[in-house]
Amino acid sequence: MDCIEAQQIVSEATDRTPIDQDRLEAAKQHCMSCSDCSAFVHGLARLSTARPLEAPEGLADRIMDAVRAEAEAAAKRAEAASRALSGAASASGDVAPTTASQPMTDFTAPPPGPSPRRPRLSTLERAIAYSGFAALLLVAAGIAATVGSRYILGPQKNENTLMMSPQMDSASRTTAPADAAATGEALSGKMAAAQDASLPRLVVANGFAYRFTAELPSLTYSTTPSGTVLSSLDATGSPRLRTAHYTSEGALFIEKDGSFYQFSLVRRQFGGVTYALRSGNLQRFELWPVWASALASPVDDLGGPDFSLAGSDKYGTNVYAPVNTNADRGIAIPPAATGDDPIAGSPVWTYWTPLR
Amino acid sequence: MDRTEELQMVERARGGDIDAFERLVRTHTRAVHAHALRFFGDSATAEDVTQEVFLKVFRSLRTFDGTAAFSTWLYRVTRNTCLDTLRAAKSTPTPMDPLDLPQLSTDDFADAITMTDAVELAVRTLAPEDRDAFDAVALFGLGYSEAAEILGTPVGTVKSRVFRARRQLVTLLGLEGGRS
Repeated sequence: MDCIEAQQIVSEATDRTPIDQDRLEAAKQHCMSCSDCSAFVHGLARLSTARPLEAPEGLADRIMDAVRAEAEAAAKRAEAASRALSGAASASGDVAPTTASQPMTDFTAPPPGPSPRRPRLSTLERAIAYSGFAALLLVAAGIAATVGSRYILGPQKNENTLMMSPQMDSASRTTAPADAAATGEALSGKMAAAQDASLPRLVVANGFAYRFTAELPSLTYSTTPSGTVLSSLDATGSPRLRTAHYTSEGALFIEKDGSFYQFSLVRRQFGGVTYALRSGNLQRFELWPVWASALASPVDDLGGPDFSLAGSDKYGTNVYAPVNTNADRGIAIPPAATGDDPIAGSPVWTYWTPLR
Repeated sequence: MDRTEELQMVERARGGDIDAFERLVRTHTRAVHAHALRFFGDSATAEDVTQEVFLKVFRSLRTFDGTAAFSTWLYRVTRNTCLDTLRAAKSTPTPMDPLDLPQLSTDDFADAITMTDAVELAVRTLAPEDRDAFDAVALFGLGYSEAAEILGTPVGTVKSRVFRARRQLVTLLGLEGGRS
């Protein structure tokens, strides 16, 4: 038995495939006497101990929200169709009329009283009108419930959209205890240079983009190591896998060369909802976000093919929502945002998803 | 969840029991998301596609006849959804060059989180056909013959691809050791 055959038998045994016991025994004997095969078996055993990648927190909840919404919509459509059909059935004579022109029972007829000025609709026409109107009410209620009536009325102009952004000075930052401490620490440590919009310093963790805000000599907050970030933490070096430390307030810290780099989630607000910037992995600073959505990145100013203009936010930046759904799934921000926009200067479209 | 219990959940879900469907979702979200993440290389697309997979499963649950395991059918839907998304050019996978894989020492693998993430990065460097076969067997738990049917290849080819994937992962991650 040669090395390849022996290693393949061991690999198949890992998958609990029924294997001839004599062949398996022969493979084991070979591996015990062959250093290369022994190394492979050792490596395979270590590979098998790798913990499986967990799905993002809340993903299953979001999936079930979408499934329930679809089930509810389907049930309402079925009910509306059923009402329309039952109306059509009585109009077609399934309920035998006493005369050809007077159905025996017409529950949709208006109560006796003064003659209506409008021409009376037939039973079928009324059933269709009622079901169509009911469906319209349900759609409007669905939009109001998921997006918020404030969105329907128009984007808000005076929202506080920048949270933990490096463009905010420390005085206007929210005063959660960790942030207050961060303010003091950041001032006493090395502060990030004034942000140059053409040189973003971003890292990506779990698909979310974080902006560098400060370099600290030590880590004084209570943090939880959770996940890793692949980055060189500069503009030119080789990327490395680095452990990411999070505070309960959502700040991200990564150690480099004995100090700690602090990052803040890049966020914005639109329609009363806070959105976070998504991106494919960025292995170095000075790289702009990579479009990260199953929806196509817009190819024109209209947001097509998958997005359309939904409004503008407090920065005067146009905001685009998916065409066949709504901003509840995510939004797209066009390139060349300016001023204090959280992604000012980006030459590419960026994708943002609601924070839950 | 064993296969018998899973089939019971599927039957209840087909009868309109949404709680049963939720159990199926929570059991299988990890595998579907992991495959999508390995396919596209970015979390947002992977989450979008994962949601799309389960919506498709929900809509077409009546067509599942139970002759194959639910995970087999689920893998087929997952793979097809990834390919459809790619064909529609809605998202292009971010390829990963093995040379970009960070050098890791055995000390790094003392941290289970780093080990998991390193394995995920390394899987993304596999040839797509090897990754598909590896995911079908190692992630979704399909047998070789089930995977072969979905992938449209002979059983022996599936075995070879899974083996090749494992050899490459062991080498890339520097997991060999304990040479006799």
